[in-house]
Amino acid sequence: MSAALLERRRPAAGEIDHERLWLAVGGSAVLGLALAARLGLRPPPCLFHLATGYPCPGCGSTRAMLQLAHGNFSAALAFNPLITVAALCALAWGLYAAAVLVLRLPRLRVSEVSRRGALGLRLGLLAAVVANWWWVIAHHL
Amino acid sequence: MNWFYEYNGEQKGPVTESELDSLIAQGVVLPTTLVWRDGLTSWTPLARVRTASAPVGGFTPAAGSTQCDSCGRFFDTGDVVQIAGRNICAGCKPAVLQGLQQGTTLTSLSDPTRNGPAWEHRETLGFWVATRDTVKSILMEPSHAFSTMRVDGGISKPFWFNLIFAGLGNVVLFLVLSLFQASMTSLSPELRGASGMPAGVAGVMFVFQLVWSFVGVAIGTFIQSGIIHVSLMICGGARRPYEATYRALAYGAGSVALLNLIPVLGSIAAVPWSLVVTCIGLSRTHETDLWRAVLAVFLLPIVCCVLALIVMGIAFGVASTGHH
Repeated sequence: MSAALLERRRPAAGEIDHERLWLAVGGSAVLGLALAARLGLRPPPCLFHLATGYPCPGCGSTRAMLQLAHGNFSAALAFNPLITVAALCALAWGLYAAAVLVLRLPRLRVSEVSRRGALGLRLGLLAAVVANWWWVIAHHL
Repeated sequence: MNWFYEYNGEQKGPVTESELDSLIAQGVVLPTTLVWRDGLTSWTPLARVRTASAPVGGFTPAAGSTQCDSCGRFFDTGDVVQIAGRNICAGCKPAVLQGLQQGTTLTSLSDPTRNGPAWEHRETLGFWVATRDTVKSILMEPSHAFSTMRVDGGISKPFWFNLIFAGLGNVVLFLVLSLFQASMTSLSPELRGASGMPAGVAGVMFVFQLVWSFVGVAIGTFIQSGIIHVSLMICGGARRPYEATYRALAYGAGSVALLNLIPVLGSIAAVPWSLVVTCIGLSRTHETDLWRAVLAVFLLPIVCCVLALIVMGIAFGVASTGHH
């Protein structure tokens, strides 16, 4: 039995159109952040880093995104691998969302997740965060 | 006692108890209809003030009639069919069957006790009354407010509530902080001109931050709801779709942000209040345990803190070994 089942279907009446919603949210966020960077606004310093002296799991995200925006994939990975991979996944998902919206195709939805699958996803996510943090600490200290 | 009720987006009434009973029997006033009478603090769904076990006006459905679980109206039992254990009238049947074919579950059919908050009925109540009742109920009675909040019906109404009021609260907070910063700069000659920024650029940044107070909060609430919904799924508490999480956070954040209108003290109170409202909101909208909701809200910080302790423990251990 597979861990999760995917299905292709059209959104039901009244159901949130996640492709439209997240494409709009992601697009607006990217535009806003690009404008803020152009105006010279900088993200606030990491409170966790200030308090403990160690980088948090998200430290290096801004630098990774800047490197990714310039096409420096390996440099982005070095700053924060998980955020870089997540950004690339988000980009791929954005292309998929734009395609299904333009071509009016059925949407991909997770119809069922088994208990083992759900447990595997939780542990996998935790392992990814821990491994990423290990990497960030090793490269920042 | 005289009653007022909502019908087709307009306020109707006053009507007497017996007239209200007739309107209920005719299906004009439904369990989901907002009603008001003296003694009620706000417009309330009929089902909240007239329970089946103790009808206020003595209203009981005619013998042999059954209530449609989709539209709430009463019909002869023979005219109602059972679909997946729910009573559905002939009028609603095509739409319900079509919804089922497209993936809608019957649990998403209208729940007569979930018809709030008042903002969802602002066309009837008016902007100010709907705003006042929504903010008051979420801040003062969050448990009741989120227990009666609709968990479906789209995201446009909570979106506008969040955009307007959380944005307004953010703007006030930003202006207060800017004033504070400006007064500190004027008092301290060393800080004057420290930024070295031309006045034009500073003006553009100021306007950008004002606009971003609205746009950023709208985008941020979607993203925050996504993170918290995933956390709630990890904690096994997400019993409803993402829409329910977004609704709880959008109405909660919009109401709590208005505390920023009270300078300094309001902004300080908003921090714990926001956490309380979010946790209660999640547990009531998803009808899950409060501890799961609290765990979902704090999951990311908890994981970070636990991992930080482990990392610091290892670093301390390595350092101690090095000294020996």
